[in-house]
Amino acid sequence: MTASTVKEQTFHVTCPHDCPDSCSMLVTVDTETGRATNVRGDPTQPVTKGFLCNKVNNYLDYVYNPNRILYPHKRIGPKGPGARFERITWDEAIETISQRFKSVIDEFGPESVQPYSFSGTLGVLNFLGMSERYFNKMGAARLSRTICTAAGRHANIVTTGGMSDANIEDIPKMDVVILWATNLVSTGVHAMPFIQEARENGAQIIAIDPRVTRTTEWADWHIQPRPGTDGALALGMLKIIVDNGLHDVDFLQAHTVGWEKLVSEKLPKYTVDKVSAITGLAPSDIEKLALLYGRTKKSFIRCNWGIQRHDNGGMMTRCILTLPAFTGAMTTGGGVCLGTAEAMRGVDMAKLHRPDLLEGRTPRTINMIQIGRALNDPQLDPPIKAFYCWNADPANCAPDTMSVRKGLMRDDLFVAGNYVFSMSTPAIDKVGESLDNQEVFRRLATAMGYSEACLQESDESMIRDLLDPEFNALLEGVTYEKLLQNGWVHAAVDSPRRYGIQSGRWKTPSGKIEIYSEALAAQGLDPLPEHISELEGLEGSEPGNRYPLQVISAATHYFIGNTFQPVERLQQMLSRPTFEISPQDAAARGICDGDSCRLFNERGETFGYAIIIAGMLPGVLGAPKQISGSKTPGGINVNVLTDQRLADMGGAPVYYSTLADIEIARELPIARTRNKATG
Amino acid sequence: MPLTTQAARDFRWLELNIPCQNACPAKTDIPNYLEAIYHEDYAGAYEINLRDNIFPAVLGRVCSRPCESACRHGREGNGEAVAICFSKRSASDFQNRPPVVLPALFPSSGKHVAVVGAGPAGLAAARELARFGHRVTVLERHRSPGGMLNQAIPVFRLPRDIVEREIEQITAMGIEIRCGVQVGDQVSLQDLARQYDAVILAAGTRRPNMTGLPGEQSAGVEHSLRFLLEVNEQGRTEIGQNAIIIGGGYTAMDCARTAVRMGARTEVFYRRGHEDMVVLPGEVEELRHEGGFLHTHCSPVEFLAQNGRLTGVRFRRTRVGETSVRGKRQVVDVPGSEFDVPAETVILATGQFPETSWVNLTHLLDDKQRLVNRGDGATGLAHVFAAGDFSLGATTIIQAVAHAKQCARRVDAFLVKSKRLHEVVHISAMFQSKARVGKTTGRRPEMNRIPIHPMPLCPPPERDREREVELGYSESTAVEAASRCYLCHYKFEILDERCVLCDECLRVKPVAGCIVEVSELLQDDGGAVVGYEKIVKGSTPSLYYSRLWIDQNQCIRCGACEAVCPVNAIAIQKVSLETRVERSDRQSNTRGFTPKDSQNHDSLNG
Repeated sequence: MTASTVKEQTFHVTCPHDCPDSCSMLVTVDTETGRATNVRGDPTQPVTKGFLCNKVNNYLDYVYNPNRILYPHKRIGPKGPGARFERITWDEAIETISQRFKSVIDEFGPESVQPYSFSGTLGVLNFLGMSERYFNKMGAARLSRTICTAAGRHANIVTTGGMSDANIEDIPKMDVVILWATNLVSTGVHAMPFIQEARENGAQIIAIDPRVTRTTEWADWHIQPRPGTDGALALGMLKIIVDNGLHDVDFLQAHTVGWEKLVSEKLPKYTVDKVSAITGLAPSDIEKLALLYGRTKKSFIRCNWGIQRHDNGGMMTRCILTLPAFTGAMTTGGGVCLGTAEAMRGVDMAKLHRPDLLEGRTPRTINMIQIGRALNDPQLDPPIKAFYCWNADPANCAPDTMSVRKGLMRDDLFVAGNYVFSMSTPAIDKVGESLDNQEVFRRLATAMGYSEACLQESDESMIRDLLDPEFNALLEGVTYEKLLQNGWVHAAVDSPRRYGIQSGRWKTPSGKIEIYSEALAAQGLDPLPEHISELEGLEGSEPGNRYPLQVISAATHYFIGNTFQPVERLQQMLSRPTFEISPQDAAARGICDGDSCRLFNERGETFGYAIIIAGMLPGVLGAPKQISGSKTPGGINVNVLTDQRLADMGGAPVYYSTLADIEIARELPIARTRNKATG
Repeated sequence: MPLTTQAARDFRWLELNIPCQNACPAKTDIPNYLEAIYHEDYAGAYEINLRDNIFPAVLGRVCSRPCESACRHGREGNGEAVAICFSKRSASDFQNRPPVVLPALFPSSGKHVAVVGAGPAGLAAARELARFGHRVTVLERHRSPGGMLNQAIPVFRLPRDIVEREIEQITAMGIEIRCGVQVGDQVSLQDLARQYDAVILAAGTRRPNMTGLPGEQSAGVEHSLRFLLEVNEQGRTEIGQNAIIIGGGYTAMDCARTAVRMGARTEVFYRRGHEDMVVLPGEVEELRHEGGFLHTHCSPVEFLAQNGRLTGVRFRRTRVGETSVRGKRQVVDVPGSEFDVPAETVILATGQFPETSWVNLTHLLDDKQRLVNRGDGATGLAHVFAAGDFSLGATTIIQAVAHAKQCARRVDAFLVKSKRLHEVVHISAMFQSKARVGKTTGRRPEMNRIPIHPMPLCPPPERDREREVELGYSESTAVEAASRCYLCHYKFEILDERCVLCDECLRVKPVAGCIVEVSELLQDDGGAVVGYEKIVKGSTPSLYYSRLWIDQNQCIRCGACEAVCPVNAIAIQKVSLETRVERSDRQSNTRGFTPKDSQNHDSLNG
């Protein structure tokens, strides 16, 4: 085929999925059919570097998936497995939802309407844009969106101000790169070329993870502390660094507060023997790691979100954030990249969410990880009577899913939501009658009779308004026109106005890195970095007394949460839930590779197949997070085992502070298949 | 399931992955010489051929080309095979230098070997023996050396100055060729066996295979051996008005195209189908252009004669029958389908056998007067060996040359009591396009789309008995034709310990099966990959991690995967079969490397 016979157009698009990479993509569209024919990484974008991940490389199979819901549907008959739906028009859908909202509000007040959403799409507008304006206008209940990064985000905000993540583009300059509790090969692959470049430049690549992952295999050195003990490891490293005089006193004095207190009050406890006893690591490994890290300023710690999903996730993150403050790694472009994207998503939320629409009302806030409790709480006044869900899958991904499902099954609860899929610029023809979130909420606002102009504002106008360099120095030079033309614009990472080492000013109350935090003290937490044992974890659990295996339910290589699970080729890779288990733990239970198993604790049970992983830390069990119920024997995934209690900071979940045991399952319950919409 | 991240090395690489070289009986290093031609190093390309197959310019014209049938470029969906044979000729056409004499590999041994027969096998054996440092005397019954190169192949396919030049390159190594000496007549084999340290019998196949049909004794019925000898060497011009050639091989084509040039109305009759003929691509078409005819599925029944003089041939039609146990389709006569074709001359291109009447040593022949010998040329007498067609029966030039090379090595091992040459696989350091010192194989994707170049031919009206039909490529065509080679001696391998499984390579793969997702690689005890478990939905259990694997047998070395890999996880290595002169005390297996060796390379980016 020659160019003249094919009518093609290429669009700049940003990958909207829940991932730190935010890839710039080029979508080729056949202009006659309006269908995308190719999706590839933008070779000009410095992080995307022209390649995509194994998930998004299957984007077209996802967008045009035969199982995709293409039209609004209404349930006919009872809720629950096997529920039947029939196709309706958008007009009917909007009208039905609005009528129910009106009647619920009339009877119970607007707080009885509960929005529920998270990161099914991460575009600023479609993540939380028009939806927030709409629910603010309504005065609906608030949702505390804590399910992912909240503990570490909170720790980061109180410690550094949250706006000063190190830039992965600086990794090639480093001597030491620590991939701390992150499986970047599977969950942030665009960092890997930079890390590969660092290795080629002579850097040591260290992975810290109790599991064995593709990333730990990739690293030069793999360190396996017990889950939940990373804070002790960081503090042990700090003691060795200080004992050896490797800390940068000038930097500490210029940029931090409270470091002497840490040195005098906390570090003496963290002798190498004690840290060894807590973490299970050899004293020599702790010393080696501390000296490798402490002897250079060119060090980069990439932490992702796993470490934050523990009882002590906030404090562990804080301990790690303190490490570069002692070495002064920020002066070389190093430091910690936490990936909470505080800085990059730093737009004026008041402009976006318009809290003025609340008109002084202060509706209650429900923490999303305790939605099961809230839905079932007879004392909650008013009760949740309408539940509007988008960008999220609480029946599979919220902790303690039995309670979530029980709540959602309530006959008196009206559940609505939208299955959304949109590209960031309108590149392709709509698939079926799919609508983006922004437009759904515009229509809902009209149907509710809300007349404020801001509820009909265009995407372009909202984006232009948010691109405000006064609010965030990283936005200097970023204009709507440049984004439209190029698809991406580099953030002004070197702006002298930027919080952190660039301006010498950190976005904290003291303007410095707060090793001692008054804010934490005010919350009743230890104001200094400290190791605190998990409430439920391997450390200190007494044999025979509690469940012996700590369950780390991490992201898989093949899916992004719920997203991409319908793609055939990826299903081939992970066609059924797996339980990764060490050879020792398997042998102790007579479990062989591939055995069907039951994983259980006092909260429930889930079923899957054993994969024996040589090198997995004994006592640790890995399970894929958020495998949809329809692909799970018994219809309920590992979140049946997780608790709704909160972590130490940020109201975060404690997915990984979960103990359980495993046994061979003689019989497997039958997987419940999802009914396709009827009509 | 442990994670396997140690990249597995494929030790059966050469056998599976350089199909052309593996198909060549002489194991000619084809990708290396094509690569040399692409870089306009014609002399280098010629020398590779000279080393491996001894007669580059000759074989560049008349080789049976088993390499091209094996060429990966000719596989379904990939286009047509690389013009390997024509390229060999290009190397000789453009090297532009005096005859090339290869240096001896070893000092003079003081041993003296007699070779009976100066055909391709005898000359090849002699040259190899001379490289080993042995003195060689070749005894040739004909008036000049060359064997079938001169006596059978027509001049219009193989100009004689080409043959002379390549024989000269052999004699220049100090080899004595005594022509006009009939062993068994002027000198007995017994005497040779007494006088020389070793004797190689390379006397070819001079005994015609006759049909035994009625009338075969009539005047005008002759065998191709005699016909071609008389035309090529004795100036024969007579053939009559109508010539019939019986047979379907290379010789039948040579006879027919010669007969056409002698003015006869020429028809070839073959008892099987066109697809069964063992001829070069395009040969039948050229015969037709020159005015000859081909009739298939016709089997001779009787030679018709009057007064002892041939008048014609009676044929019977045949049809394809059942397939035999060996997979060959049987030919079945069609009853009542006989027909007569008038002719003054019938040439039987029906094959020939070794002629052994002069072999007067015991232990060499069986009771049917056939030479008893093993595949490597050893006979019942320790210092008597057989090479080429005399050992194998009628084969092709390249097979005879290859066999003679092996035989010479055997003779050398006998004479010096040790094996002095070893084949080793040399694996280069890994390289990558995006490494600090970036390097590629030099191939670009567009080269895969270049169609095969036809050989320029002398127009049929201008063809005569002397003039060479195939004119050779121009120099620019030669370079472009060589650029079509996939360069299968380069190995693209995914380094599992670097791969981040982003699947970018899967997006750009040109062949459905060249990069596969596997759950497990199957390896033998030596670490050679002998297969893989493909991921199949439903039957493959869930994977902790899959791995990506380049199936070397499917890979067309386009380099697309290596170019897109974001973490440089795909590395290239050049794998070559090398002949090494080694001391006898060094231990070495025939493939010359072990798993340990393979990991002993220079590091990446080094």
